[in-house]
Amino acid sequence: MAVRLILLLLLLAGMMGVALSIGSTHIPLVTVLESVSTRLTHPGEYPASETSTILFSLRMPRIYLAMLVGMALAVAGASFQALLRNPLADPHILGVSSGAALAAILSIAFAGQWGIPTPAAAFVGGLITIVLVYTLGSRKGRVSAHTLILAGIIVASFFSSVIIFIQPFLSGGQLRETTFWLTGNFNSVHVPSMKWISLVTLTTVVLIYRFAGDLNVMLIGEQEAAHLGVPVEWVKRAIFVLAALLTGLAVSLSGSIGFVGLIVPHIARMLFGNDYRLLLPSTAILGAMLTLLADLIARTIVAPTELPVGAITALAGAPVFIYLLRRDRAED
Amino acid sequence: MISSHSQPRMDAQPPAAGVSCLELHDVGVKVGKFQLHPVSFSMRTSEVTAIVGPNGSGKSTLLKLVSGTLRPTSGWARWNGVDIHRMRHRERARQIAVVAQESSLHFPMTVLEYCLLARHPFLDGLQLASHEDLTIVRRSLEMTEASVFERRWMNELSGGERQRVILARALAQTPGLLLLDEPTLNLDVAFQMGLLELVERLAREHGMAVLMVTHELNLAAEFADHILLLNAGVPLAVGPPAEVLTEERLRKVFDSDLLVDLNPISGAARVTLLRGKRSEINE
Repeated sequence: MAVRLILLLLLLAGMMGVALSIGSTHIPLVTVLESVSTRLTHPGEYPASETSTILFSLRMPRIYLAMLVGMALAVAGASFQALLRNPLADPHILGVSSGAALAAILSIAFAGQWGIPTPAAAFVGGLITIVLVYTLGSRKGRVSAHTLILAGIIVASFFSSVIIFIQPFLSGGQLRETTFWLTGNFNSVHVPSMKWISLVTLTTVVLIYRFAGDLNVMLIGEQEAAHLGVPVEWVKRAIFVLAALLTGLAVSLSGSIGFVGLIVPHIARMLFGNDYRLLLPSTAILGAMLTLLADLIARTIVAPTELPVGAITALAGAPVFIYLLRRDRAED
Repeated sequence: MISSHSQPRMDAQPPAAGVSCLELHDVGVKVGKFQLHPVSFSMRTSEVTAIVGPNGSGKSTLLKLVSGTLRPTSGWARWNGVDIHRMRHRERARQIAVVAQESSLHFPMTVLEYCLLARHPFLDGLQLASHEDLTIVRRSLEMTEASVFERRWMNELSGGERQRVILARALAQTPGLLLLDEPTLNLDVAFQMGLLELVERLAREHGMAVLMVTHELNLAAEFADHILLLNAGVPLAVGPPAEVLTEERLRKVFDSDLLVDLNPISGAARVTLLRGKRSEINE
C-alpha cells in the first residue's frame, strides 16, 4: 500500500514538472529540472534570468497554491463524508463556502470602509458560518448528521440569495471580483502570509489524520462506534471544526471550487478502500493532483485568456458525480 | 446450525464459573417522559439473563444503561467491581460487546473489514491490525459459521448471514459481557434456535455473561438462567424462568389470555397465547 502512495507522490512530482513547463512561454522540461535542482542545491543564489522569474515567481507559487487548496478541500471532503456518514457529502455542503463568499463580496462592496483584506473577510465569514451551522445543527450538546446537513443547506441557500440581492448594487469592476469568489481560481498567488496559512493548513490535516482510526469505526454507525470505544460526540465536534477550518482556508485562498472534495475521496476509495489511515493521505495527494491539473487546463486551454478553475472542476466533476451516483444505486 | 470450536478469549483464561461479575444497584433513568424505575440485579459469569416485557417497558433502555450509552440518574452499575459509567470508552469496549439493532451501512465494506473494526479498542490510534487480531477475527467468524463469506460485501448478505457477522464482530472484541438487543429479530425459527444455542454455549465454555433483550418468551425460558420482567418502566420480577413467568403475572403484563405450562421435552416454562379476551382479564 505504501508503494502505491509513493507512486502517487512521484506522479504528483511529474505533474508539477509538466505544469512548470507549460504556459504562455514554453520552458522545456530539461530546463525546468535544471533550474529546480540549481535552486535546491544553491538556495542562496538567484540567477535573475527571465526563465527563473517565470518559474519561481509566477508558476511555482500558483502551483503551490493550487496543490494546497486541492489537498485541503479533498481532506475536508473525506472528513465530512465520515462525519455525516454519507459518501456523497462535500465540503461545501455545510455552507462554509457560501458564508465565505458572502463575506468576501460584502468586503468588496464596502471596500475602503472595512479596511480588511478580502481573503481575511472570507475566512472570518467562513468561521461565522461554521458557528452558525453548528448551533443550528446541534441540540442539547449533541450533533446530529441529518440536522447538520439541513442546517448547512438552509444557511447556504440563504447566503446565496443575499449575494444575488447585493450584486445589482455593485460596479462592473466589483462584479468581476465577486466572480472570483463564486467560481474560484488560483490568481491570488501572492497572498502575504502564505507561510502561516500553509502551516495552519498542514497542521489541520495532521490533526484530522490523528482521528483516522476513529473515523473508520464511525463509518458503520455512531451507536456502533460508541460500543467500540470511540468517544463519538468529541470526535464529531473535533472533525467538524477541523474540516470546516480547512474549507474556510481553502475558500479564502481561491474562492469556492466545487466537486474536488466530493470526487477525490471517491477516487481514493476506489484505489485504496475505506481505511482512513490510508484514505486520508491518498486523498490529500490526489486532491493536489486534481486541482493542479484543473488549473493547468484552465490557464492553457483558451490561452491567453483564462477560465475559472471552478468551472473546469464542475465541468469534469458533474459527470463523474452522476456516474458515482448511478453506480451506488446499482449496488443497493 | 451453528457451532463453536475455538476459544474467543485468547488474552485471558476463562474466569471460574459462578463468580458475580455484573452488579446493578437501584439503576434508574428518566429519558424525556419515560421513566425507568430503579432496577437491581446481578449476574454471574457463564450466565444468560433475559430481559422481557411488553413494548415500551424499558428493556432497551436498561440495556443502554448497562452498555454505558445512557447515564443513570440513580444507582450504579458495576462490571467486575468497576463503575461502568466511569470507565474510559476504550476500556469499556474491551470488556463489554453489544449486538444492537444495526444502522444501515453507506460505505461498501467486506465482512472481514467490518469485523476487524472490533479490534479498534485494542489498537493505539493509528496502529494497524496485527496478525493476532486477524486470527481472533477469523476464529470469531468460524464460531458463528460466517467464515465462508469473509470476502463478501456487507450489503450483499441476507438477514441471517448479517446477524451471524454482527455476532462475530461482537465476539472479536473478546468481551466478558455480551449484550444482545433482540438478537433473533428477523430470523427464521431454526436460526433463532441455532443462534441462542451458540450464545448459550459461548457463555458456558468461555465464562461470558450474556444479557439479552427479547420478545421471545419461550426462547428466553429455554435458554436464560434468569429472567427480568419489566412493565412500563417498573421491574416486576427477577429470577429463574419458572418463577418469573407465571400465568397470572403474564396475563396482567401482556393484557392477554394465555397459558403457561411446561415444555414436555425440555421442561422449560412454555407460554401459549390464546385468542381474544384482551382487556377483560384484568376486570
